[in-house]
Amino acid sequence: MSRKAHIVGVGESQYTKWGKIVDETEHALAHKAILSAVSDAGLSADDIDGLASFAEDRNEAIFIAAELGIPELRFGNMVWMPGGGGGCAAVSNACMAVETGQADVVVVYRSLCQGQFMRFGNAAETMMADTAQSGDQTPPPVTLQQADSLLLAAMGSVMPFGMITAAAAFALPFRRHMHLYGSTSEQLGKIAVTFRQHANNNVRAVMKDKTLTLEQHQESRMIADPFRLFDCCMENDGACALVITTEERAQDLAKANGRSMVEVVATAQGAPRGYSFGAFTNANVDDAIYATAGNELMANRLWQKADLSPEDVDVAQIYDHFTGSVLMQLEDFGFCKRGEGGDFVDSGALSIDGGALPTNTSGGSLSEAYMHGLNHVLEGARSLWGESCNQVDNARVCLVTSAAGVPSSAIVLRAN
Amino acid sequence: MTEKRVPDTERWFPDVMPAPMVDHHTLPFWEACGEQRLTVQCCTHCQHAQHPPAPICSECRRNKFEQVEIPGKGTLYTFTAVHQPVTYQEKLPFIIAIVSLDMGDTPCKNSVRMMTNIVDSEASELDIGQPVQLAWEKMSDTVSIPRFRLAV
Repeated sequence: MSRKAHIVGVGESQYTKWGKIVDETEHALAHKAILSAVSDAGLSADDIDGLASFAEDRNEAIFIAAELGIPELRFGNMVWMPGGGGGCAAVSNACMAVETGQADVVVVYRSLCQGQFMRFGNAAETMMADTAQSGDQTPPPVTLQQADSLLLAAMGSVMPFGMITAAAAFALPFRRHMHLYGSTSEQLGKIAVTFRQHANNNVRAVMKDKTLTLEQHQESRMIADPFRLFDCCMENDGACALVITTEERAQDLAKANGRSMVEVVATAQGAPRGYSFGAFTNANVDDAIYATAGNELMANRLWQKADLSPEDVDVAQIYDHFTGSVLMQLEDFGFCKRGEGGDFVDSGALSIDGGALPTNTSGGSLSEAYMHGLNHVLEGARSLWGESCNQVDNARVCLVTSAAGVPSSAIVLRAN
Repeated sequence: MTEKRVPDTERWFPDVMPAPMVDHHTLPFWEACGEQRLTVQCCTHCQHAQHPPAPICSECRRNKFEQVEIPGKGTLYTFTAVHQPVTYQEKLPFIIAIVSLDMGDTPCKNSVRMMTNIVDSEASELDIGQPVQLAWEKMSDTVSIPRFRLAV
């Protein structure tokens, strides 16, 4: 029996609007999600021997392992792909650990309370609070300053132009996509509305009870042109986790709980030449890939490793920090030709209601929760177990992607 | 609004905008900006131009450069009008753009693009491909920021 990696359990805490979880720490939520995931698998914390995360998760594996009383930590891993780009990469690294025998049961987790810490969408608030505290309004002179990281140093070259939020960064390549191919704000609106309709069936979704129309999308306030409020993902509090183990153990667990086996068929992570921190800093990336999600090379690699093609995909969970990034990923992953993402969306393809590629069946980051995209992997497994809130009949193959416009990752899952 | 410290030049952004964070590699660029000279890093071996300056040439992997002055002309590559505050003192929306720069008569073998702001225009007046020209904003005695406006 092979050690091929499978997903055997998923779990999460409650998801809320940022700032709503005040009686539990981000750290305690991580425990909650991990215990929920191992319990869902039919395992206990005593079975865990590896932990993996991404996006500089503040809840380091060494403390999580100690506090949960994990008998022996044999694998602890953090991904280099930045932010949400690391979600599927963390799964990939967990799979590598399992398949190479470094560990047997690896839990991938992400705990994120934007209310308890800095909000990603409002970095200005944090930055200006520092200025107000010091009372210093004087522009500092040009002096040598060693940044804490290369990423911060790179941001130091663009922040004088007011480049600090993700909305502004990811609007830049999409604006050029609109110029080159004629994609429109209405097409972005259709993405937002479709994912919201999916979330309206999802008891876990932060936006469960809030409907959204195309008119409301078009009338919502501008954030970074062409992205309006409803083109931008939410900012949330919560945690989620999933369990990776070998085919052998997955088979025993599937026999016990009657689920189909969900194999991680292939994984890929990376960035094209010169991509650095993506849309924040990649002004000089090759012109041919500027107005894209930057994922085409990785996507081709993924399909080749999986020995599958876009036509084989029954359901997709596509990283949706911004609607425009979804549209460009549809092209990069080969669901339509370059420049035809808008038409693909117009065809209704993304909807559970008869679409050719039902996408973000839980509502995604736009409407379920912003857990840096790890919740997309949970929904991927559920959609192949027949446990989705918007179940695609006989779904066998699911694509899950993590980020776009920055170094990214993706996985292909298959029910066996 | 904070009182303008340098009232003899045009100002578009407040004093409290984030200042350039400068390391050994980017210092020559920002020092030249302070003298209101727009420059790019050019590899002395293969004449590859790159921006922002880095410790190594991404083409030939050598590490000798000169910081060459360019004319301050270019074309609009992409842009966004930002409606979210950065400092709570700037006028909203403001425009972040990427411009493709004209390398002039430098020895550089390639053109580079640069992140900047477009000033004196509304987003509705902008189209990708329009010619733009440099507009220095003197933030202090030592800091000038290269912004751009539509070419006249």
